[in-house]
Amino acid sequence: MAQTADEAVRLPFDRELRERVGWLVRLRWLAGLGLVAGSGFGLPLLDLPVPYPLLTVVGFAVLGYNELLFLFGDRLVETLRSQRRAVHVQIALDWLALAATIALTGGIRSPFTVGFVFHLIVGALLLSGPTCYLLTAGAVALTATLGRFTSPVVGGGPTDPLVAVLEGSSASVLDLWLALSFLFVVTTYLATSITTQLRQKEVELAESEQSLDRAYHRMEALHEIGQVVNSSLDLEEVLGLIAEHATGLLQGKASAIRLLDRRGRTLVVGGSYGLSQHYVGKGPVEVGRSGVDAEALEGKVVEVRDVASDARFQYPEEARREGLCSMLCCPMRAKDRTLGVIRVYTGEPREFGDEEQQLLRNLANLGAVAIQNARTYGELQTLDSERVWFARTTHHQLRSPLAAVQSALDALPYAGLVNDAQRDLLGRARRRIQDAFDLIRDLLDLASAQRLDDREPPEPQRLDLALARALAAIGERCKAKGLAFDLDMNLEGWRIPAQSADLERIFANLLDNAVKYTSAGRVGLTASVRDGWLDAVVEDSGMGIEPADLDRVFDSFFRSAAAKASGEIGTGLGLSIVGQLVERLGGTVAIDSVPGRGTRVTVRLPAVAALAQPPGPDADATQAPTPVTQSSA
Amino acid sequence: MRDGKHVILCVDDDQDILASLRLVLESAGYEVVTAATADEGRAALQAARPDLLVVDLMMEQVDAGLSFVSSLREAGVTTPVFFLSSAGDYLYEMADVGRLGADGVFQKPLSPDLLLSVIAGRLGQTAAAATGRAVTSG
Repeated sequence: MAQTADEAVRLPFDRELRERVGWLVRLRWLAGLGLVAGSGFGLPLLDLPVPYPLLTVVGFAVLGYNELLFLFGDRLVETLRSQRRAVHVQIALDWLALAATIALTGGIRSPFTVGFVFHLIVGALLLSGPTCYLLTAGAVALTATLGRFTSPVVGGGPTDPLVAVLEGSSASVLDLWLALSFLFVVTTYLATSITTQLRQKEVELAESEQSLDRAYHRMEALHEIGQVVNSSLDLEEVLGLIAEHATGLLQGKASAIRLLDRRGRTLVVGGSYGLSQHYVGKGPVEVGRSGVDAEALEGKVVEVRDVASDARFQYPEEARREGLCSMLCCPMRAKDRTLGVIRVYTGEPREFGDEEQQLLRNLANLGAVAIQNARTYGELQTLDSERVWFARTTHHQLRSPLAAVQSALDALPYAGLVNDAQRDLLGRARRRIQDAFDLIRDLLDLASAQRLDDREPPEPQRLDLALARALAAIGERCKAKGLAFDLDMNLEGWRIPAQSADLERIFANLLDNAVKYTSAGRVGLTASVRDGWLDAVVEDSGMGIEPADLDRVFDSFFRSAAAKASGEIGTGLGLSIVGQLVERLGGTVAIDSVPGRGTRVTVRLPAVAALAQPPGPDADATQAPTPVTQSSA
Repeated sequence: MRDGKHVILCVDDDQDILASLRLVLESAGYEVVTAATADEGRAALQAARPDLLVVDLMMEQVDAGLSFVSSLREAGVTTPVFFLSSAGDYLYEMADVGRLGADGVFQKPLSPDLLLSVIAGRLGQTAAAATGRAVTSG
């Protein structure tokens, strides 16, 4: 149950009350046991005229009701529907037991009368101040009543067993009663003063805990938004999240973020939270007709007490029907440009404090960064797709005339006999054309490898199929050069989220290099998946790479002096493409080599286990279309 | 067939490719008809009744070759078709050429030996099927 601050100063918190009741039960065990033990064994030794058996009965009664409170205390709270009422029941029982003990041990002159002091202190801890003073009055009245039974000054009655023992004391019963009453009042005053101060501290503590909690939630929200702003380019998602947090942190009813159009005349919804579709779709806000937004766009934070009656608000009727009342509106600015506004609405009249205004400003700034990021990324994407389109078109335009030239050269022998000198020249021409084809292909691959990351991660591709495609012509080429080709591949059931062409290109390029620069011996490919990573090694017993060149082999257009001298055609782009593609796929590539002994390239790529055997696309890809030729040239 | 020769219709907007195709195919004894556009191709198909088509995938418009062949298939023309493609043509990567009933794709630049052996093989099949039909019907 929530307590107001005032209530909290007067009364202990429920949680604390529960803890103290537990403590009281523990103390009561001691009191009960003390009474039973004292009346049964200790006091009879003194041979006082006290009805010990009756005292023992009181002791057992205390233990008995304490046991019941211990077992059924919670149920008592439930039955009475209040912790406080249950405490009243406990205190009433204690007072009855105390009164009985006092009555049995000499009335007002009983040493147990000071027990009231203890009970009053307990009362001050558990109850409100006024209740404590009521209890004090009760204690005063009770001691007077008990005095009636014992003192002839106050009245007659049965003779107390202790009177005889205490006779000869100088204090009269009346004096004793006055002294006790004074003691009770002073005790109550001191105890309640101290507990009131303690409770005041407790309330302050609870308040600072609440404010710390609020600050923590704000930090957390800002952190979460900051992370999303930095990691997501989905503007709708980011603005929706900001609107949601703005509503929650300012304890509002709804929020809306509106973005300024390019001409700066209207504000369109960029994200909202807590608003109906109907309200969101009510139409664009025109800056010229919405005084609130016009002010906010100038850089001010605008507060509206009641949107339905404020002339600066463009859609008062719709807002009233939506149940919106007060509003705080803040500009969203980035790099000295206002990009839009964020508004937080409440359902009831409300004033926003400085702290809340500052919070909304912070949220607005984060939102502005998100908008800026998304716009920049959008422009980048457009540029990037134009670049890819340009590369592809150029690729086709460059290849077409070369293909026509080579087709013509290849057709030449069909036009008649060709002599040896002509055949030699034709061979040279073909090789140079092939050189140009490779360059064009690699440039396109490089452009493709450098494209922006896909917004949607690509469908995972079967690794075995992708590698099989890269291997298509390698066996034949090894055979033609008299090289052994060792293949050790165990990839079934594994996939990699990548474009199939990218995977194929990585391994085709590595294997192409291995075959190209190995004149004798072997070429090998080992590939397996361990701990979710594809480990693939392409190795050869070829000419190797000089240590000084190893750092540069991934640079575009780099060809080592030895590679050039080998007479093999190369563009110097193959490994550069491999490096970029591997990086793009979140993997690593390492190369080590001994000149004259061979080269070993290790590629690691993150793989995923295939959930089920794919029925469709992969199988199709292996069947159709069927290229008649295999040469890439 | 015309004068005992198989007729092959080549459709490509690159006249130099057409010239090479003509040289190679005629050297193997085929009758070659050429067309530079899809429209010319349609007209030549009516006039020459070719036994086989060689069609460039990318002509004056990016998908001209594909749409030309798919319109033929829709019209019920069952003549064997081979596409010509440049490696890296994204149309070739994207289009499901097999579903159009094409018999294969030749990559440019053309390898004359491969071209001739594949075409001879395909026309041989057609001839065998025709003979088979003739025998069963007779």
